[in-house]
Amino acid sequence: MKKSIIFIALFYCSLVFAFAQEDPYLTMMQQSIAQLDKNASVADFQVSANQFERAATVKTEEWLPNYWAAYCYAMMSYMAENIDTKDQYADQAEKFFKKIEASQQENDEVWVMKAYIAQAKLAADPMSRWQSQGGIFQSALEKAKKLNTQNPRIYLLRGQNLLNTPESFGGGKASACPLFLQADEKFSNFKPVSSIHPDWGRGYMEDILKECK
Amino acid sequence: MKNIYSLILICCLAHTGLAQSIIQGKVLDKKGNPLVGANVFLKNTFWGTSTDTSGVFKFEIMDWAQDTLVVGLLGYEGIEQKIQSTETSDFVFKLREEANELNTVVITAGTFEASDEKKMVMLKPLDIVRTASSNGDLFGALQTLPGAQRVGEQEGLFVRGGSANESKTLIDGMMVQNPFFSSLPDISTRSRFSPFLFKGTAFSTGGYSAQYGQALSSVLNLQSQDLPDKSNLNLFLSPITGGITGTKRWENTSLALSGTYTNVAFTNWLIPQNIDWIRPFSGWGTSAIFRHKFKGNDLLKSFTNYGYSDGGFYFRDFGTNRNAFELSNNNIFQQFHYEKFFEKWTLEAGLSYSYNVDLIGLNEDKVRRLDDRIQARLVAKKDIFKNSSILLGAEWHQYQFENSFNAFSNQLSETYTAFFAETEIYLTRKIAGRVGARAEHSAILNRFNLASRFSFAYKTGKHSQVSLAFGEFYQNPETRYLYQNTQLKFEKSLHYILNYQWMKEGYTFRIEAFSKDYQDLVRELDNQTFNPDPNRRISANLDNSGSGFARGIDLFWRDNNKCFKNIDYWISYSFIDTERLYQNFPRQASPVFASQHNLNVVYKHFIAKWSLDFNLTYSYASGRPYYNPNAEVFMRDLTPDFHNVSLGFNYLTTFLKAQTILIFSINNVLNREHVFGYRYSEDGGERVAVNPTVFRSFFVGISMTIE
Repeated sequence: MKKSIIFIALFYCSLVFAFAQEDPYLTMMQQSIAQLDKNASVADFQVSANQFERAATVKTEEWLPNYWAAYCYAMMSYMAENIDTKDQYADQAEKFFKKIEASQQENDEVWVMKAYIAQAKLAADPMSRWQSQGGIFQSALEKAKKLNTQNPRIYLLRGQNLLNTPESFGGGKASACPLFLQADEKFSNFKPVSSIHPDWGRGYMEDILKECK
Repeated sequence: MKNIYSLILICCLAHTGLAQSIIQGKVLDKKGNPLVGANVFLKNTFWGTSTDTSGVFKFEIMDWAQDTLVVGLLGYEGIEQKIQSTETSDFVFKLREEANELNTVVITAGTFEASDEKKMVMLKPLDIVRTASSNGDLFGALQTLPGAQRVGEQEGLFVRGGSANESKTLIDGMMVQNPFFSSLPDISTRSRFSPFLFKGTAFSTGGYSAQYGQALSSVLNLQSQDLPDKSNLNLFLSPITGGITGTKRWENTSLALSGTYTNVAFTNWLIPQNIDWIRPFSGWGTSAIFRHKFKGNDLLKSFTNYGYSDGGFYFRDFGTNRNAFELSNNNIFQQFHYEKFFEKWTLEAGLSYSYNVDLIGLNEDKVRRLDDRIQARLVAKKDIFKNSSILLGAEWHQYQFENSFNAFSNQLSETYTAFFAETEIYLTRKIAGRVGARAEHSAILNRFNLASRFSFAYKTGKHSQVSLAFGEFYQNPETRYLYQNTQLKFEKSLHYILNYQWMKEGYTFRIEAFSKDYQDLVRELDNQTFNPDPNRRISANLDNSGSGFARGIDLFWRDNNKCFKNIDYWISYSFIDTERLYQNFPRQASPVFASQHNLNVVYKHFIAKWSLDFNLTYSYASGRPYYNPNAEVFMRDLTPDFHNVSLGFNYLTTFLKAQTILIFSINNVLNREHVFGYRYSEDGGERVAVNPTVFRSFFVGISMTIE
């Protein structure tokens, strides 16, 4: 009896220690990132964005919380209904992005994020923005490619952009699919730096590839 | 053994000590509605949560190392509040909506703005280019907006009973001396500048800011583009004109060089002309646009433009008389603009120079018109609180005019100085006001004036607002009068404007009532018979005893892709009642450029499937007064009503890897014979109608851009 009490108590203690030793930042980030794939609505992404924002206020020296917060707001912009709300979310994404842009000039993922936000703005009003935001989108991806040709998201975003471009402007499925195939190949070789580094787009990739086949 | 027990004890105590407090409560808006998705957390910790659909939050905190609770939500002003460890539940936070373009009042009376950057504007720059009747000319599109009058025989903006001379065109706040190609008798010329040079257009039909002067009726402020996004090469080709523009973008610098050649001979041959051309107009132009961005977003812009044109025609006369009119023009325009940003200050500096010379042959006579202008402008703006700001500025112009007819020559030289101060104050999100004053000095008149300007706006509802504006406006008398007499006073107008507007997503409704008083207009005294010729020789005595009024109402409705997908249309209607006693008018009458009713329906349909942009414009203007020497009442006869239907097609495609736009448009589809007025023979026995150079006209063009 005594032995088992001690045993249980010890086990409990070890758990507490294990919990205490784990980096709460890492745990929080991992949980929040794992949640992203399950998010289905603007409200879901708002909850995630809030988590990353909280992480960002504590870990001011890290770029990842701001990066992921920007990602969430960009997603919300794509999902939102009307142009004003889309813009509001895209502007918020940009706000988080601006905090890391200057210090992460050599980071290809940050350039991809810049393109992703530009694409969100473009999607809100393509007719009047294809020139301005389209330009930012293209040049940001060129920068990213210079830094790392193996980043699959470069090809994914290019493909996505072409898919939404009218055929008469050189877009459409026929020109987008080769890029998706390229992205797919890069994805299979892609290993994120850590469990909390960018590794998004795989799910969308698989869905879209089905359409290409 | 005992040690183990104590260890366990410590362990467990420590743990229970950690899982300590639960913080809970609600986040609501000012009206008490729950706010979903608000971020609630203990400052500088990971402990926090988001509110659920009923605005409720609940989370655990492990210790009280921090005691400030942060509540935030996009679009609302955040709250930070210190809390005690004893009170951890039933918090209620009420968040106030953040001020943004949608919930804050804007001072709009009198202004029509097109901008990509701002939200609460009625138009986007692209909408202007896509207006069918515009023929790609900025001013053609502006004529479809309320307040602008349809005048076909002369270039310029005729706003609310004002002459073209009362409207000024500005680029980045600086006056443009020659916004149009040289004036031709009874022919309206195009503007010199491509609409693609500008990112924003503010067309003010009255009550405008103290920043602008020397315009009794209207100010059109064009904002030039910033750095282009990328390098490219653009080719443009049509039967009338061909051009090439190369744009190079470096990290913080850009340079665009372009050249154009224009010749209307081919289209004049193709499309039946209402006049006899001696030499169809041809010309060439070249421009350089330079941009450099300094640290901190400070921006230097330079715009250089040179143009040459030449042509001639016979203008209508009676019997077998033919009058030859031949013109060649040289125009130089250079403008620098520099904007510097400090923390709370913005400094804007501008410098421009323009030179323009027309050599005209009138049958055997030689006419030379020359003007040049140097202009400097400095504006400092300081943000005081929230959106409120104060602004101080100064302007200095030095210009010369010369007009010679064979051996006779008139010259004048003017130094014009102005100082202005203005403050824009947002008392709350619902009430805003703008108060400004402008002091001007004219060396040639040797006179000062001081003009005050007021604007107020009140937000009446979520989507609506009411604005009021009042202003005094001064302008030098026309050059042709100043050649004769420099003892004249400034001409003056007073504007009173009441405006209501309602904007919701794609819908815009706007109604504006205005009243304008003209004072001190120049009059030619002791005229025996009225001479309607605008180029008549002025020999009469002059004074400032003229006056006039204009009052009316403008309506605007737009539905931008809201009710029907990919369909954007707007309807504008203006009613005006105006009379004046000025120039050589023997009595007060409605001037020739004022039509009582103006209606425009502009329809744009983008058919995504075919990448085709289809535009249609219908314009109606009621008859304008003209001078009939045989009539009993002065200026009471009216020209026939003006109806015009224009169609435009833009087809977007990729051709040889270049983004290509094919443009096709027809102006005056119904081939109506528009009459802008009549010209009478000296004895009044005969008359000829003033028509446009062509009735129905076609335009085709192709634009290709390679990156």
